[in-house]
Amino acid sequence: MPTMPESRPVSSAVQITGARRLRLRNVPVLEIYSGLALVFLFLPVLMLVVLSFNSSVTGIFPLRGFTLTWYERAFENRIIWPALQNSLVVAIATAVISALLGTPAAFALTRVSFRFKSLLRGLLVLPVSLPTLLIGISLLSFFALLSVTRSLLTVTIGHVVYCVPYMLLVVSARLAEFDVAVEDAARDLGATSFQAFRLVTFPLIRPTIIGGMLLIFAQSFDMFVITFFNIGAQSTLPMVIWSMVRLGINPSLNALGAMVLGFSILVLLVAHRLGGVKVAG
Amino acid sequence: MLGRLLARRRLSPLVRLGPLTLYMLIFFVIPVGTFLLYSFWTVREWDVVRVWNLGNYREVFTSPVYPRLIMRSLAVGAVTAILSVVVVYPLAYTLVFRLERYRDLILFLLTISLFSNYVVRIYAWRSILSANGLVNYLLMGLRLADGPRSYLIHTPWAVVVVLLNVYIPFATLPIFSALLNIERDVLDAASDLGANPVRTFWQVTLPLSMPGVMAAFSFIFLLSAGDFVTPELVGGINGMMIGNAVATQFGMVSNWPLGAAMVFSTILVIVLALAAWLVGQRGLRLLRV
Amino acid sequence: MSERAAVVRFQGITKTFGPVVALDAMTLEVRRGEFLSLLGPSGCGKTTLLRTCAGLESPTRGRVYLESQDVTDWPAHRRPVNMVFQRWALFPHKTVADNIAFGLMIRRVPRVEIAERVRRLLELVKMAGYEARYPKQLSGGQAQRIALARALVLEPKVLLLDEPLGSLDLKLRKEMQIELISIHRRLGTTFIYVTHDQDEALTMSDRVVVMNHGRVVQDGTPTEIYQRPNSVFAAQFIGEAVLFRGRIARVGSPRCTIEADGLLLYGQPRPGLQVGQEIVVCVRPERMRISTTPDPLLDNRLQGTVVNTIFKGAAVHYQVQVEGAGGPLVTVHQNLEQDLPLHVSGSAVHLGWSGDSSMLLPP
Repeated sequence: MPTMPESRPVSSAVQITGARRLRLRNVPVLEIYSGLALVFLFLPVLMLVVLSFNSSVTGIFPLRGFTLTWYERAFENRIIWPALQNSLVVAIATAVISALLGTPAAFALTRVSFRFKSLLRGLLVLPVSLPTLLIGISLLSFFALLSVTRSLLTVTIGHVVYCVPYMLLVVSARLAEFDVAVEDAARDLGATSFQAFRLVTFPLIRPTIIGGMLLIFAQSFDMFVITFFNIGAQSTLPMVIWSMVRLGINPSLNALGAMVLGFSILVLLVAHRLGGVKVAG
Repeated sequence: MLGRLLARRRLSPLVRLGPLTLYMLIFFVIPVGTFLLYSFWTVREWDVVRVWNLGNYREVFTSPVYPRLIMRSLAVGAVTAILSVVVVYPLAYTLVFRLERYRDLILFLLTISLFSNYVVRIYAWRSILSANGLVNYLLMGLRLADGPRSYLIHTPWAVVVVLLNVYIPFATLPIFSALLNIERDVLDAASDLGANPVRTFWQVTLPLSMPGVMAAFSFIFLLSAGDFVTPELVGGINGMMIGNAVATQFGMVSNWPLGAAMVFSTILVIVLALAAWLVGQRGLRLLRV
Repeated sequence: MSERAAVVRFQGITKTFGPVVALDAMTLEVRRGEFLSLLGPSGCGKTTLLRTCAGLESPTRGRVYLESQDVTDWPAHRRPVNMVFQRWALFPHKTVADNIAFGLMIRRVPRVEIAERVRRLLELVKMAGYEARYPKQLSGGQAQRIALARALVLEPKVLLLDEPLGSLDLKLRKEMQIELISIHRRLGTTFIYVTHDQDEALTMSDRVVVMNHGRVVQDGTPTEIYQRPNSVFAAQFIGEAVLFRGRIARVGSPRCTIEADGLLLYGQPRPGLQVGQEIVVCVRPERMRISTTPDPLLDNRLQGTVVNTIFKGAAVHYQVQVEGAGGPLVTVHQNLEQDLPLHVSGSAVHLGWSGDSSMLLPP
């Protein structure tokens, strides 16, 4: 015999307001937890920024006073500028190459079906889920075997291996939402396939491609491990930072880190504004 | 010109996929393959001798140090992955079912955190955990500590905490996606049929989000187990992981074959553990019937 | 006062979503055992009202009563009502049997009994043997039956159905309508059915509540609403209507006169009508006769020209341009079974209908 669920309203500790809101005595538990999680996430970043203005020589607590010395020192550091330049060059090259390789591939993967497509797709996206250590040293051994000298070129090659999946994923996602009927309409109205692509398809996916390139730029700019194993005599910014960290506590590192962070955020803001890039879902 | 290539529908996918596939083949698949080959060679006086042998593997498995490093790496990987999933799940849940308005903002914040320089972030953790760091400072302020002291630094737990911090965004996104894809009506149906919010979560929401949870877990497990920057900077001797040992082989020591053998030994252990896990699951299922 | 007791009562239900008013002080009673349809266009609030009954929405103002008990603050999982969702909302990770058993498991019904009840329900919805299938293996119609079984197995006081047949093709929809009626009769459970399809509402319901903009427009049996709509909206939403807008010219017995666009029309008087009052004369197309000669037995006689002939299978629809200043275009039906001669486009015809068939509605 089915019994009706207890016929009394719910206890006052758990109030039901609206469809599914759950509050323990009016305290939004989940929201507070999320706030705390985000604070934890940004803790190192906040530390960086706060300490970069700290006038204490040790670079950590206690907080002594406000100063911009560390920023000055960071700017004066001679090693940084060529390294920065190299980082930029590599990042731009990586972004461009990734776009050229990844975009056509994304088209093929989303529009054409053929045997082993899922397998191929899995393979092409695989580098992102592997430790960069593996990619870095396997490339190193490969180049050594072929007696190829390590240089910024080898670094770029390594970065592209890791970054192309980003482009693939981002453009594929955009194409999945893309209404192919628009291209058909263009061809119906007299455009050739190429014109349809140039006048209709490309403008529509361009923001996504640019967004993806910016994302890859930021990623490559930050990459350390693959660079570490494949670089020649030159240096990139992460490498410089690494050596500074190894040498010991260096307060200007905080300032440098804060600046790098600021730069990356800028790049990401631009990528986000273009609206074509969805990192989630 | 590239446009013309892309536009031709009848052009076989080979042309579009060709360049990328070729690239990946040359610079990803083959290097990993040659790396595997390296593990079977040896070194004599700074030169790699291409003589096929299993000496390196023997050395890895019989050494007093390396097996421990491998197990520690897997442990750190597993603990970090489990913690990440547990810590991140409520965040992802809140993003999907509560803070709809702030969702884009928070996702953007998560993305930003991904791109603040990796090395610098770990260095910042030193400022938090070391003597005179944030934790020390706060505890001294609360009179719970009487002097400069470091916490967790030079232990595997420092590695876990730092990796957890770094991988929060990586863990959030797959779980967020999985939760987002659950049809709302299905949750309403559970309520309608008599499931209170807790029941609905256990019986419907959680099972349906499992694919995302598993994806996040395996992703973070692999990345954590293979990390070497974090243990290098905050792990100390007790926190050393297999990644450090491998990196050393490629640094001063210059014994690449041994390093390669370490890498593939670790992969072997992971594969065996996974196989054991799957067999165990199958066995449990048979027992239940 | 109704003979049957009210099993659901909505008292002054208002629901707002920000600036949007979905329900506006709705008061409605649902009687035990009846098949009630909430009918209206998209956005009229019918689904919101249904969900308020289920507990999936909380009213901004007003109370909900189930069998005289105020359940407004009760969450959905405590209410003895169950819902069949538009897109079925089956649990994808559970088998058909587990889907149906879900509510029973929560109530800790013993396993043996669960199995028996699941089997019986599957038979009721003609899906015996599908216990081990998964939702993704089912077609739309099959999934709908399972959703129905899942809700009915809990023997709810009221079954709520949210446009359950909307995603099925026409033939399947007709079949399911008949099955739903049959199940309703067998079980005697009160059904509240939401639809925007007036055919469905007319076919299946004991009672229809026509809604618009969150309010009740008309509440009655299908026949009542069809024959005596209380507004132009109701007249046009249920069935087709020919409309003439005009003013009352004379109130008298047995007919009152309406002047519309230069035409003189006649309808039945009723108390409260005043000369000069704006009024709409509404006629159902099947009540209008179309012929080559005027019929002196009919009060309303108009002349016009056939503009369009539309073949509808069992009938022919004519679009006739009525003569007279600003004569409207009206649609008239002719049943083909009567074997009367067909009228061609361009021919002059006479339209006529009895004054009894004129419905006088507020503008």
